[in-house]
This record gives sequence, structure tokens and C-alpha cells, in this order.
Amino acid sequence: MVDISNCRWHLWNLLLQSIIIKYNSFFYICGVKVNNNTFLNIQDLTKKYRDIHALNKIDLKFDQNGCYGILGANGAGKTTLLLIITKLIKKFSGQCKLEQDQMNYFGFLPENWGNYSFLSPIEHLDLLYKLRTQTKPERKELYSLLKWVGIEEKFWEKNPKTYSKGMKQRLGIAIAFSASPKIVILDEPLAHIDPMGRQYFLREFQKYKMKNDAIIVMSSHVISEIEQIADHITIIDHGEILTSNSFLEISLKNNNYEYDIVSISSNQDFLKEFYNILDRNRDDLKITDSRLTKGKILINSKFPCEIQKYLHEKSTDLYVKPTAGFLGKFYADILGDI
Amino acid sequence: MQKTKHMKKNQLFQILVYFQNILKSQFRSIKFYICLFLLVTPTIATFILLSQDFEIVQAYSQLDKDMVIFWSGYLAHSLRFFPIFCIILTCNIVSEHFEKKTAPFTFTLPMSRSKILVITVLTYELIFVGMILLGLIIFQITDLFVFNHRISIEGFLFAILFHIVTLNIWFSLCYLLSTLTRNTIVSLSLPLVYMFIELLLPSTGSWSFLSITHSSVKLLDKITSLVIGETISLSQIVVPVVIFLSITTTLITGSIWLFSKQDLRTD
Repeated sequence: MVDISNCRWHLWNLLLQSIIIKYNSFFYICGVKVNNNTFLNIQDLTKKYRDIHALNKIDLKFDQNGCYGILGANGAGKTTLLLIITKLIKKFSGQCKLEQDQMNYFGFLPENWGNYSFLSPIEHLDLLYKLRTQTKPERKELYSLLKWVGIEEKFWEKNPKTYSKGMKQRLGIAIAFSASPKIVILDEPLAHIDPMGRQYFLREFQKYKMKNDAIIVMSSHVISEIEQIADHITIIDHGEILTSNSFLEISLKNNNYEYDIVSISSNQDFLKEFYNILDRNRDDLKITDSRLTKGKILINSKFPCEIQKYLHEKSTDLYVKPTAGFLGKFYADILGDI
Repeated sequence: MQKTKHMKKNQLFQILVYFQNILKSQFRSIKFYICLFLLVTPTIATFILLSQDFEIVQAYSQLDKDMVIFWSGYLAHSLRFFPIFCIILTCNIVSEHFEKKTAPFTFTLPMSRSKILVITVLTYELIFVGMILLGLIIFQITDLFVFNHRISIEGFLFAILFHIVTLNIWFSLCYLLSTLTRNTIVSLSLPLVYMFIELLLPSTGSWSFLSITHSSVKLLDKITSLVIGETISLSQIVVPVVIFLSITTTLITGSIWLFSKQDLRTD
């Protein structure tokens, strides 16, 4: 038997939802905050390059601040997805809506990019800062940005033509983060960067996210990079979304109860101190096992989200993530299922 | 009210910053200096050719000097050289962003693509006006020293109008090619090839309308006749000017419209 009243309710709900999506900005102007947390809403998105489906009827919703990792093999559709989000690709079917912050700008580092050859790095950052924020930057701010990405002072005024690939990539990261955008979209940002540099940037991206309450969307085909940084994992393969969920929930659904508590600033003393607090509250937090190792606390729990909440209350320097290696296994499993 | 005013002020700031950036990109490129050389070439050509008959020209009346030195000399030469400088200057106007892979930064700025392209067009228009003025000033100064001859104000203004109208046709053609093909070699070579082919077309008859240079020469003849006091109908100047400007506007707006709908991948 079909429940007519239920059907009718669903229809009304659908109608209301479509009106809200369509007139989202209008409701916002009127002071009614609609779906405030959703910053990316993709519905039924399809992109074809001649006969090849780069993306095939994908639905995606990112609705919390944090770091979103997009994982997939070469040619999976990661770059196409990011180019659609950034509105560089316009010919597609379906809907893709990026809700930008009040200043209406986002930072973007594409996979293939070049610098304005007539500008020095400082001038390049200055230009983007002015165009993004419509205000003049402090020179100090630009210098600290270049220092942050690890470009030596003697190269600041030089033409980037003389830069090595790694240095150029570092400049790209500086450009993406210029004017402290609330949304940063990075396509393979750590390509050409040395291993130490990669670790440094993964930590710095985390710090940036925490400090600015920002959203970072990062695509990569390197599992360990995504594993270290992402709070939310999206796996794409052959233009289709295989999974898109919070990393902790993915872990729970796959019966993985081993987690690492990591300090973003790698503060060992703080970690040790926190381990003692954690040890005292083991029962309250439902932690079955915990160990302190170099650089992290290993825990075993069926309630990682609660622990995450607890960590947030205590410190913004700590976060919980499934143990290293879990994502690799999950990725292999999920791809093997196809 | 105040918020709207503030937003407008901010947008103006954004436009000015982008405008400055385009100017900077021009002033720091080699092609700009090649164009400056092409700008003074008509002046050099005019005076080298006239130097053989220096004493005869010196003895001419003001009107004859106008005709020989300015209208048949400088403007006729600039008709050949200015389109080349225009093509060189604008051939990479949009394609440069794709060849140097700066498009992902430029077209993800908090400005619409159309706005970016309109600012670019207006900046180039200003560069053209500036360069035309500079060329005329250089010519006038040289003319004053060599032949002690001054161009009349109306002659000066008509020359500026003539250059703007004719150069815009070449500009819009390059703009269309650069925007749609995103290839500098194509947008440089096709107009240059066309420039040479159109010289082979007959200067009279229906085929002559396909030649930008022939149409420009006809317009120049009409303007010359008007300035030296011959009785001609004003519509003989207004109609070609309107046709030239409407072709330009159509090509530019068409390019912007098409570009704003395209996918911009740099790989």
C-alpha cells in the first residue's frame, strides 16, 4: 500500500528544498540563514570530454569547515571536479554551487599553472591580494607569506623564471594562501616538493585551517598526504564518487578502532601531558587502550567522534585520525570491489 | 546606501589595480618597444622621402604642406605601419594567459570573466590612444623643426579619429582570434597574412570592401577632402566610421560572450 499522505509530504519537502536552493542568496539577504554550513553543493553533475565521461552524475555536499581530501588515480576526474568548483569549466550538466565567504574570494592552486612573467613574487602576491580583498596589503604580510612557504629572501624580488620546480610550487602555495582566504582549493599542491617540505606543509595546512577556521579542499593521488591532513575523504574513480564521508565515520564503518592523536605543532611535551589527562579519563572517554609513542598517542576506541569533540574543547593543536595505513587498505578494498 | 557606495569604491579599486597590471605587463615586454619603433617609423619614412625635395617643400603654402607632409605623407605611411604595431601589441591579449598558464589565477579572481575582458579591452584602447597621440606629437615636433609646419587642430583631431577607427578593426580581429584560438601564433600570423592578401584585392569594385586597408584609404581620402575644404557630404565620412565601429563592437562583444561560456583548461 502506498501511503499518500507520506508521498505528499515528500513532494512538499522536495519543492521546498528546490526553492531554498534556488533562492538561497535571497533568503540570506532577507536575514534568513539557509543551509548556512553548506559551502559546496553538487547535484547530478556530469562532464564529458567528447565520448569520455570525466564525471558521471555525481552528487557531493561539503557542509562543515575542515579539510576535504579528494583521492583518486590519475584520470579519475579530480582536476575536472576542482575546475568545475572554481568555475573554470562551465560546460557541464547538473548543478555546482560554491558558497563563498563574505569577501567573495577563494584561494586556488591548480595543477598546471604559471606566474605572470613580468612580476616578481612579491608583486604577484601584492596584485592578487589587492584584487581579492580590494585593499592594499602590508608589505610585511607578503614577506611573511613568502617566508612561510620557505622561499629565501634573496629570491623575493627575482623573476620566478630562475626558480627550481620545488620553489615555484612553494610560490604557488603562497599565491593560493594570499589574502588568507576562507576557502582554499589545492590540486596536487605538494608535487615537486621535497619530503621534509611535504611534512612541513601538511602541518602548516592543518594549522592554517585551525587558525582561520578555513576550508581546504585538496586533491592528490598520494594516499599518505590525504591521510595526514583530511577530515573528510572523497574517493573518485572513473568519474564516479566511490565514497564521500568523514574520515572517522569511514573508519568506524569499516570496523577500524585504532586511532592516532596527533599534535599539529609536534609539541612532544604537550602530547605527553595530554596523554596523562587522557589516561585519567579513559573510562569516561571509552578508550579501551592507549599508548604514547614518538609524535603521537595511539588509542583504541569505538567512539572517535566523541574523543575528537573532547580534544577540540581542550586544545586546537590536537586532532584524532585513523591510524596510518588504514586509508591505504580502505582505498585498495574499495577499488578492488569494482 | 553607504554600503553600495563602499562596494562601488572597492570595485573601482579592483578595476584600477587590474588596469595597472595590464599596463605593467605592456611596459615590461619587448613587443611594446617594437611597437614604439613602429610608431615613429611613419615619421622617419615621411621625412626621409621628403628630404630629397627639401627646398621645394619649404616653399609650399600652408595648405600644400598639410597635404604633402601630413595627409599624403605621415598618415599614408602610418596606414601601413600602425596596423602592424596594433597586431603585434594585441596578438597575445588573451592567449598569453593560456600559454603562460596564468589563466587559472586570472579567471578565478573575484571578478567575472566578462568584466576582466572588458577592462582589458578598455586598457588597450587607452594604450592605442596614447600611442597614436605620441606618434602624432613626435611627428609634429619633427615637422616643426624640419619644415616649420604646424598641423591644424581639426587635422590633428581627424587624424586621431581616423587612427582609432581603423586600428580598432585590426584590434578586434586579433582579439577575436586570440580569445577563441588561445594561440598567439595564429592570432599574429592570420591578420598579417590577411594584410598581405588584401593588398592584392582591387581597390575599386565590390571586392575592395573586403580590404580593410582599401576601405581605410577611402576614408582617409574623404577626411582629407573635408579638411582641405572640398565640399563633400558629411555622411560620406559618418557612414564608414559607423560601419567600422559597429564591426569592431560586434567582434569584441561576440568574443567576450563566447569566451565567457568556454571551459578554461590550461593543460
